[in-house]
Amino acid sequence: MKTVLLFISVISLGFTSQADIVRLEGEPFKPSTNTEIIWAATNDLPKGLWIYKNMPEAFSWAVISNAMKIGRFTMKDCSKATNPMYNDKRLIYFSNTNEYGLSKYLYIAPSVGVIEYHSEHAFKAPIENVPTTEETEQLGRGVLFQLGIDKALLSEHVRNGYDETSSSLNVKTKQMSPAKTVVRGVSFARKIDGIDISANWSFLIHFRSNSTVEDYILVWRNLLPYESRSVLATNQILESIKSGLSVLPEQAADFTLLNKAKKITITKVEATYSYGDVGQVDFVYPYADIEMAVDFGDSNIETYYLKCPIILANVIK
Amino acid sequence: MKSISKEFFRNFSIITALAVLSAGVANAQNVIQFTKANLTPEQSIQLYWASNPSEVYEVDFATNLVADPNTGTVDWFTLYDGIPSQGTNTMVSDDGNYDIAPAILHPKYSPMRFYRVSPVAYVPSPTNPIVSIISPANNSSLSGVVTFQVSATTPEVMDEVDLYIDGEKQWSSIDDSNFVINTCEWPNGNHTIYATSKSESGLGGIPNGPTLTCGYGTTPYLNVSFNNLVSSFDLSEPLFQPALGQTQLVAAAFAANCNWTLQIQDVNSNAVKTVTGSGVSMSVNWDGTGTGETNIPDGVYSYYLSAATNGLPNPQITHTNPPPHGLPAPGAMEVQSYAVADGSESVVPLALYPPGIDTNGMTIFDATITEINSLTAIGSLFVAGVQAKYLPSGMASNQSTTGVGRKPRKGIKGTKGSFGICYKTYGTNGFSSPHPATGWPYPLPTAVAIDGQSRTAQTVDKTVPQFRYMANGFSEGMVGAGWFGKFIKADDQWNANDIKKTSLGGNSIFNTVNFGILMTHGSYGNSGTTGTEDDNVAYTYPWLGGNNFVRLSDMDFGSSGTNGLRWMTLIACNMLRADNYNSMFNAGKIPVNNDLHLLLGFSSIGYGASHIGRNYAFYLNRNDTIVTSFASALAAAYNESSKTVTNTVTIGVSGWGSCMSDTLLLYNDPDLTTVQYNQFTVFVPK
Repeated sequence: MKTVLLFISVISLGFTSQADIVRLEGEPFKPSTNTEIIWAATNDLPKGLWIYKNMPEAFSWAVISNAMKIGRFTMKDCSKATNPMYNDKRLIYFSNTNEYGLSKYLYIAPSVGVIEYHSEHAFKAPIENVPTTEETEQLGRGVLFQLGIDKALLSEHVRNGYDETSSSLNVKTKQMSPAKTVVRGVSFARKIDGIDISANWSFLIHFRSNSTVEDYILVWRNLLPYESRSVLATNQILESIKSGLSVLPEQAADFTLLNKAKKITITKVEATYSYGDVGQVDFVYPYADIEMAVDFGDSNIETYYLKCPIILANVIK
Repeated sequence: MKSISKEFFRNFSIITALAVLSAGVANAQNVIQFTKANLTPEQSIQLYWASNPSEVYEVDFATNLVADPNTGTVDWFTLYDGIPSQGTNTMVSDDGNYDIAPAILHPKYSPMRFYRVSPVAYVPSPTNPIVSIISPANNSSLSGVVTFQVSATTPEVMDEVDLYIDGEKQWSSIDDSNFVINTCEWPNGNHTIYATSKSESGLGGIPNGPTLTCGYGTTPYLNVSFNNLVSSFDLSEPLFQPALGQTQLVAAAFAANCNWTLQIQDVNSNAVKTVTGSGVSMSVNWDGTGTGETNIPDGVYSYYLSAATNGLPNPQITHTNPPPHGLPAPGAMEVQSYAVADGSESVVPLALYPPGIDTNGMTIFDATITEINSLTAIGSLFVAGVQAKYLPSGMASNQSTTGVGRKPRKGIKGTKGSFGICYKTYGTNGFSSPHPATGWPYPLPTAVAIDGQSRTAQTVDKTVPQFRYMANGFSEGMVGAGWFGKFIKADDQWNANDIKKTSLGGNSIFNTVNFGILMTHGSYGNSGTTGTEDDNVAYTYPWLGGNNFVRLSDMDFGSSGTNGLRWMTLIACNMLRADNYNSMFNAGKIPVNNDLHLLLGFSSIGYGASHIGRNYAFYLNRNDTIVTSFASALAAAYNESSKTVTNTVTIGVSGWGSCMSDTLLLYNDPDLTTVQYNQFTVFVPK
């Protein structure tokens, strides 16, 4: 898959700012001039969207206190991290043992917006009262509340099924016992401006017997609204596609066939934000996720997906 | 792309151009040829060559240019690859390669070394990563411990960000940004710094996925100077094993005559041995014992060196044998004839020029190697640093430093354990193969239906270049934590016989290390009779490329003793798929014996992602459990690239009940009574 890097400068303001690099990952796509492109999407796009800047100091002391409480840590458990995963001069680290005498730890990296907790799984511990999928989601939301996450900023698309099952293999009979669920997990993604970010999750948590938190990781940056931009009109998005400013993200489809397309119908357009990796991206940008029906003229219509710039901009490759 | 190569060779401590094996011009670009080579005071070989922007290079070496009688060709070995062009001139230093196993030793340990450089073929991304050194600033004067901050951005998946000092690659940074360097570990004087980065367009191993592309970035040279009272602080060994009679030589040079104290400290900063002395340099040969020659445990030790000027004049330089890093080699005072061409900075022993070379235009003179070093920029500063009568202006009259952390040294006595890796990247274009066959002689051969496909389908194995980065990233992380890399075998460096169990005539090489990783494509036999072989077992199969596979049960993991295999990870699709594992277990065909603690692997389709290896090693050495480390490494990597992972990804872990909470440092013996199979979901797609 190829990737393009689009540099965007604001026409209306006539200057280029620090935030003017939009990254779209995918195979560059420029439709044939013989291909008819029709807009049939009926959903509305916002009128404007923000570019956000990543800021330090993601967590308040109340949140840090709650994180300590969830992990049952006290200040006596706080020590210098000898092998820090996170490049954060303000890294806070707690470690101790859990009820089974196994290790547990808590990292809080406020500058990069990460809290990570882990309590080692006791494989021989009795399995009892593992929460159901529904209970797991509710428990997860409860922990998010304690970590100070505004539920209005959570995506509706919750991903259940981060589960662990266990079977016993009987050495004598060579039989494997039916699998029991010993841990259930759930993940939540963040919304920015009411729009789902592109990363799969911003918070992943697992619960074991008796709804005990086994581990969680929260990646929640402190975002500062940096610049507001107008969203492209329908005809401008179409022009962006025709002029080759969109990309084809990785998908189970043959891109080479697109040159033979007779007609492309844009069926759905959604705005999203690219969140980026911890510590690697200074700004968070919006772009358009597009679904299109491609007609090859032989009664064969396939669905393809596109990424396209969505904010008013002068695009230079 | 036509390969262009030229060679340099090294004879003990001096290098020069020798011969051209093949040469050519690609698209009217620069002819790739070595333009300069320097011997540093540390006896590293800096290679410079005329290059072309946007190219990526591989540097090979040979220990001689005598053709192998069996093949008729010279044996060249890859020293470094993936070196991005630095424009029309590119530089790298041969300091050995300790990221691979077995390691390529530093050239000071070789009597002779020949080099060639050639461009590497790759599919370029439309854009390259943007990399820059944010701090320190150009022309900075640095002392003590300094953090070099590198910024690298890409719209793709970032594979590597590396920092080089004088062409020598430094330890990776866990955040790809901050590289902590103790400048006392280099000679005083000018040093050249640059950073490189590599990105890829997506994850490997994606069924029917698009072609992966690569991007490379590099920074301009940053020129800095190191100025310390304590300089060239160094160890002779990356790690040493006193039980084998090995010792660790600790050495340093001082900018003026000093009284010095060396404390060898344990992990709690307690001094286990203290040595004092005075002079312009120091060297202590540590045998691994504590004060009073007492036995002390193996483990990580640090070396705390403090020095203060004493106002005494400087004595003559003395030599040790073998020479520690940074000190002149034996024979340094011998006088030889040297030649230097007009306009060149390369000083070459006259005797090394092949017959027929016209030396009329060269300046020829007699000198010692120490004097030769003083003619080069780095050498002169190093020698000046050792021989200075007076402390340089502005330099503190005392300094303390703890080392030695420069790559590949880690100050570890003994080893924590050993690891080995075998992987296949499946060339540039991958390959397709027919399914495994079963039923010979009766019933007649029939293809096994695998991966949910029909019997007659072909399995398509896409290229997975990420495996290489995963292997190297894992190796670097483990070696950095005190583990010994016994082998890393790539592509055609290994075959099915290497991994098969001895009862099938194989070498079972994973049973020679404590921690093994196998990285290949993998398939599973379908449910139902079409997916089983004639013994009614639904196997799983690692693919080795070119219509070559093994059954999982063809291997036997686990061995006893200090170097025995305890933990094995299979990074291949569906290796531990629950239905198949159950089928193999019922038939007594799982590849696990009583000595293996844990077997880990994908139980669904899995993906290669460059950071998995590095993260796996990091979590392991953070002392997370082995199970958690594997799951966490995958979860983190896939969330970074969630768009490209389209299926729920699960891993299976099979092991003795007593071993499920094993960490690298804290583990239990197999209880031999209960075996567990646990399955973890590490990714749920959108």
